[in-house]
Amino acid sequence: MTPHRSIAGLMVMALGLGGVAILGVSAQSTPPTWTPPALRSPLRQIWSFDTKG
Amino acid sequence: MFSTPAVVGDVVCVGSCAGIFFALDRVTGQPRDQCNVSADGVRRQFHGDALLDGELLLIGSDTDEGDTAYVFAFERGTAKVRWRKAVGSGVMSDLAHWKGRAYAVTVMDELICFDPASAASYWTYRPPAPAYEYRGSAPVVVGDRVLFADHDGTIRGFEASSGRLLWEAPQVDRLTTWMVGVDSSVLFMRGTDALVTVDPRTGREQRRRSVSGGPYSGPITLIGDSLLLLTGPKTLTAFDLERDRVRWSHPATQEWTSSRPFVWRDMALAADHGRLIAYGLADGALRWAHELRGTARAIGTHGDTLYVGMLKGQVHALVDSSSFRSRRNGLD
Repeated sequence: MTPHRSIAGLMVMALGLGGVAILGVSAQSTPPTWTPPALRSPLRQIWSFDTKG
Repeated sequence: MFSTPAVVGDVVCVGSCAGIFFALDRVTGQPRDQCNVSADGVRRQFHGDALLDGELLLIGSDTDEGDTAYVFAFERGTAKVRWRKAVGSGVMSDLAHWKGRAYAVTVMDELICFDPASAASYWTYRPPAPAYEYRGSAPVVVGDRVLFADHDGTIRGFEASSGRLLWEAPQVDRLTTWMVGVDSSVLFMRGTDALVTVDPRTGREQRRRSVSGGPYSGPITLIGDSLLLLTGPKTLTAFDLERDRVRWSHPATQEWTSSRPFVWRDMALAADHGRLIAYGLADGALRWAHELRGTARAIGTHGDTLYVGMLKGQVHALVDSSSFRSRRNGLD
């Protein structure tokens, strides 16, 4: 294998693995925890009390 | 914590799962007063919501089978007990009231009617074979009838004043939610997906619709006279009774943890593990999500502020900083 071929092969492999990884991420059912800035909470905590129960 | 923090004047009243009733300063969160209802060594808990009746705040407590729990009447804005009424092993659900009478359903499927001012009993219905079950079922008053559903799925209708049993209506499946009165009907969810309407005068089924996303559980929240909010571990749904269809529905990303659907301004509020989420009532659009450490159960509201009760017992006061800024800038 020439160096060019090996680099090209690695790039293809990397792209393939990346694609698999992206597919893997998109197929997960992990809930989104990020919300767009416009949807961020307007709430601010002013106090907290622990009833211990 | 399951019981919804209740704002009474400048105090937030909270009944905890550790059996302590707190009156917290609404501005600082510091306890002004507290009452341990398990001080005699019997473990009692608060699960239902409080009912404000004049100068008294009424709330049920529950305990293990064989021990005694009480409905408590606390003096308004304090944790001082005006009276307590023994109710077997307790009441896990909300109370109802009608024309100077209060109603509660016990964990033994008893329906009790009493004077909220003095705790004096008016009447009690006891089922033929009472059995302890650690879950709540709430009474509902429609017209001059009071109804409740037992653990096995039989609904009973009573004359609210006298306690005379008028009818019994066994259902093909257990009720998964509490009942709610809408106009002159009563609605509830049964089985996985049946939204059932019954006539409170006869107990006859008037209508049955299918609402996907179930099973739903706990209380149903009625907004106006035509929008129902249903919640279960998997789904939060707004059902439009006027148009007879689901207006919107949101599956939980993990699990809805809030004890019932809550409403604040024009939004429905629900919590999952670590987030408090607001949807527009009209269209179900996501308005915002607020991150919380832990699991939220109950959300009390007062003006611009939410009082969020957490599973492990904390209460967080959260203020809407945008309206605060608007006021400060003289924008409203």
